[in-house]
Amino acid sequence: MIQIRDVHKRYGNRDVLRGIDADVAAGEVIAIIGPSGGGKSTLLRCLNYLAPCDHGSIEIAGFTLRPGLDPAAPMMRELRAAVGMVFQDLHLFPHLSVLDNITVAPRVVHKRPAAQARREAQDLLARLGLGDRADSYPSQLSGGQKQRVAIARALAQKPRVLLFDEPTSALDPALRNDVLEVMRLLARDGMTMLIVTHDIALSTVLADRIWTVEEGALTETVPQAQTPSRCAI
Amino acid sequence: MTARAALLFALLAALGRTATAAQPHDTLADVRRRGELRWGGDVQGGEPYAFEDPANPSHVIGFEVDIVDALARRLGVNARFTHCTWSNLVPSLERGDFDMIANGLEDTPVRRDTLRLSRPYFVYAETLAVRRGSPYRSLDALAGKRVGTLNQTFAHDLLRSRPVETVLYEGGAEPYLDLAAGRVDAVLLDNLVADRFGCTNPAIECLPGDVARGAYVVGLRRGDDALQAALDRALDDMKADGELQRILEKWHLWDQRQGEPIPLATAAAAKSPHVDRAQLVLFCKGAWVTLYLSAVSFLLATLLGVVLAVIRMRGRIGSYFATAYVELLRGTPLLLQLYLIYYGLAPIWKFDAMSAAILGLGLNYAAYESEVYRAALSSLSKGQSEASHALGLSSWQTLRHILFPQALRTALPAMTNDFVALLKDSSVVSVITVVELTKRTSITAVDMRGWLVPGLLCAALYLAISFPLGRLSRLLEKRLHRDSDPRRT
Repeated sequence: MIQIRDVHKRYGNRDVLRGIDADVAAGEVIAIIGPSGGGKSTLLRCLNYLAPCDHGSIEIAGFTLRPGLDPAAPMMRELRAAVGMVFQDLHLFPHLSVLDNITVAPRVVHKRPAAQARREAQDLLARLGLGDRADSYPSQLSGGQKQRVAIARALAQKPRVLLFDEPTSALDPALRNDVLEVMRLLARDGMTMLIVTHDIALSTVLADRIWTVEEGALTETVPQAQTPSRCAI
Repeated sequence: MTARAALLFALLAALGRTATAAQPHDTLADVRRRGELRWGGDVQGGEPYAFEDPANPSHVIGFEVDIVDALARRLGVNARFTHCTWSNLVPSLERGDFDMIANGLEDTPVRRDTLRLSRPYFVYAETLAVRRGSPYRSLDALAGKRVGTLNQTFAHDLLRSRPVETVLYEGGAEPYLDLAAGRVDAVLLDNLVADRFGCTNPAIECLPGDVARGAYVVGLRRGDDALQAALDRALDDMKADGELQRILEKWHLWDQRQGEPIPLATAAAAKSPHVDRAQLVLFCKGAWVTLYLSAVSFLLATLLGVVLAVIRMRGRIGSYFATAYVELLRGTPLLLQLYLIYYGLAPIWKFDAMSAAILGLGLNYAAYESEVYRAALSSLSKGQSEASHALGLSSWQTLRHILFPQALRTALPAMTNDFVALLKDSSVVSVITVVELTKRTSITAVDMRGWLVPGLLCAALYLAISFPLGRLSRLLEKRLHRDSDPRRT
């Protein structure tokens, strides 16, 4: 599903990624850990081309990413539908209702009929336990509900890969378990996921493999529990 | 801006007049004690009246300067000139800013009622000017056509009694520029103005024969009988000993009219001594013009402002041009921009007055609006556009669906402010002949010889437009912020 080959990324004169090589098979869950500023988030952003890499190449969900692609190209639309992203700060759109947050991309980018987009969004919300929140605005939701809306927004594009940036860092333990449950269900359904996290427990429970990104280099480990994640919960 | 200042000034003048009217005093005695005869005129009236000496702009020259100097000398005092906008000469005289007016002031029955007038010092003729080869050869032939003149002149009174569309100007040159440009069909003005600005233009033909004749007189406050008697005596002496003729000859103004008997110009238009139904209709029309003008130009300003803001946010080369546009339009006076669009561009493109006004106001306010939108857009977190891009929305789709709706919420209060400012600034467009609310007020105020009632009516109409607008904007703001409305949780 993903092949990362010798990816470099510089910001100014700082080498953030110094030659990353890694592969991910379909349905795998990868936890990316490491110290702050080590390059975890940058690597994640390279995968959906929010941060174009300076050198190397990435094969992801059938797309080939190399330096210098046009961010306005039609191929980008497809890439971003196939590779969904859930941000650390979520960045829900505060002026749109929950339903509109989820349907804006299907309607605007993929020109799906409004009624169909709405129906699919309602189904997603029901699956995530938010069936009664469609008409609420983000400011009216709890932290865990917001997190699930952000996931629903990414899922509405029917992605094949989901990227998570610190999905549980802002949540209290009860809500964290809530979100973990959602992610576990996604993993069970075969979603390929890359999760940047500081949450060691999460990586042990959920991940098939752990990548440690430090000073721009990647080292790979297998979770200490040594048990396949999908049976662990 | 100037119109508003004039309104305030005139309101104060109206209040001041009631105070001074109670105690008439002898201005002639004041003049003698002071050793100075203070007189008012508008240097913008230009050659040959009283104007700045091109060789020494701090020095005012003109045939009226020479005449007043001679009058003062005969009274045994010095003359001192005070500049004052022509339309404010009478209120300023009544306020006591100077002792007399000598600036192309025509002898009319209305002025006889308001002021004390001296004997004539010059006989003028109303001259009709048309484009060369024009089919219109008389005022009667111009029924339904556009005829330009200066505000508050006898020519204006003449035109108002006729079925023509009168177009009012503030300066002598502009009506003839518009005549040559085809924006009016004729211009009726004093022969001095016509000779100076119109008849020399090869595209313009001054028709022979005087439409009317009248006299320029010195205007004094009512009750200044002693000063009037002294000035009349001095004028008679100047006529008798030939000094007046010498002065007029020096300025090439001596013609056979000066020797002929002087007809009293009869007031042509019926004056409205009070605000009646017809006046109310005119005020409402003025208010409509103001509202229409403001709304359309603000729409233009909004659209252009958005485009400029986006170009500036994008960076690259376009942003230099957009920044230059904002600095240029914001850093130069709106009045100048209007003149440039209406008169300056006339050889290339002849906008009608309304289009020029909308364009001028719209282009000017776009500079301010673009700053408002730029600030509102940059106040949004970068994450919003990043999240939108991560969903596959293009830059334009991100602006349209994610950033603009949020920026609008931030920008709305500032936009409302700007619209109200534009509403009031729109009074400036009277300089390019658009008769909007403030201009209508000043015309009526002069007719009524008082600013208080028309001024208050005008203020009421402005408020009637801006107040509901403020409410509407607050309502809209609330709607846009419904997501943070706790009642909906």
